[in-house]
Amino acid sequence: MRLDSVQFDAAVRTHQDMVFSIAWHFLRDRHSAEDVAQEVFFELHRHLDAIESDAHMTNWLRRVASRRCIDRTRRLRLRPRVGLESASEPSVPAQPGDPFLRDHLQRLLDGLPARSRMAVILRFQEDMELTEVASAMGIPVGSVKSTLHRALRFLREKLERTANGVVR
Amino acid sequence: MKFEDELRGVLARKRAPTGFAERVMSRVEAPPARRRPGWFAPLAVAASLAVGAVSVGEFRRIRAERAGRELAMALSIAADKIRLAETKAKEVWER
Repeated sequence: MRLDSVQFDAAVRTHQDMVFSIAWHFLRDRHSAEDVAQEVFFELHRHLDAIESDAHMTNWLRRVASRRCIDRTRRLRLRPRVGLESASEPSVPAQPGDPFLRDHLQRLLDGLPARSRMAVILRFQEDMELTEVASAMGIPVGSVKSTLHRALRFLREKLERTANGVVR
Repeated sequence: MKFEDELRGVLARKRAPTGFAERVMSRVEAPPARRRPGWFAPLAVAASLAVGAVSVGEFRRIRAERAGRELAMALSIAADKIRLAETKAKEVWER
């Protein structure tokens, strides 16, 4: 795909929330998330010739972002951490729900193993199909299915225990 | 509220930080840092080893030459002394 500077700038603006959000939800640190997101776009710029379409670019960005995030936590042995100063603004209006439960759910998500966490993020942030998640993470669909199943069961059970039946 | 909806709410997209795209573009448009090609390091190591080997060889050659010169001088001095002794011995014999 051939893009001039203006077109690439437009592509960055189109996809920046998606890439930043994947990194933010996974790393839970604003600076690390921006760092990873910038690296992803920098890499995109170097591989533009391999991009065939807009849809391909979206999938490529999701794949590279998820792998960069997982690599980063493996390299630095990071666990997600978040402080008030690094909280990001939501790009969509907040949905109604119990703030306490959401906060608790977020903490439970943060405690998931890296691969499970990324699978949940891609599935529920990006509404990706299981095959798309598998392709993005470079693992078999069966692994995604079992990983998601285990992660969701863990989250649901923990949350239900806390909410005492508020969330069904 | 369903569990999945709650999860989607928690994982809603976040807005990228202000100026993110500008920072990406300035990084992309910056002139590339001059990087040494991949073959540079092996070549540099090979060159260093070659220079080292030549230096050691040259040092050994110079040392051998000096030793050779010293030996020649020592033999020459010894020969002179033998000739002197021979001359003196002849003089004593002829007397």
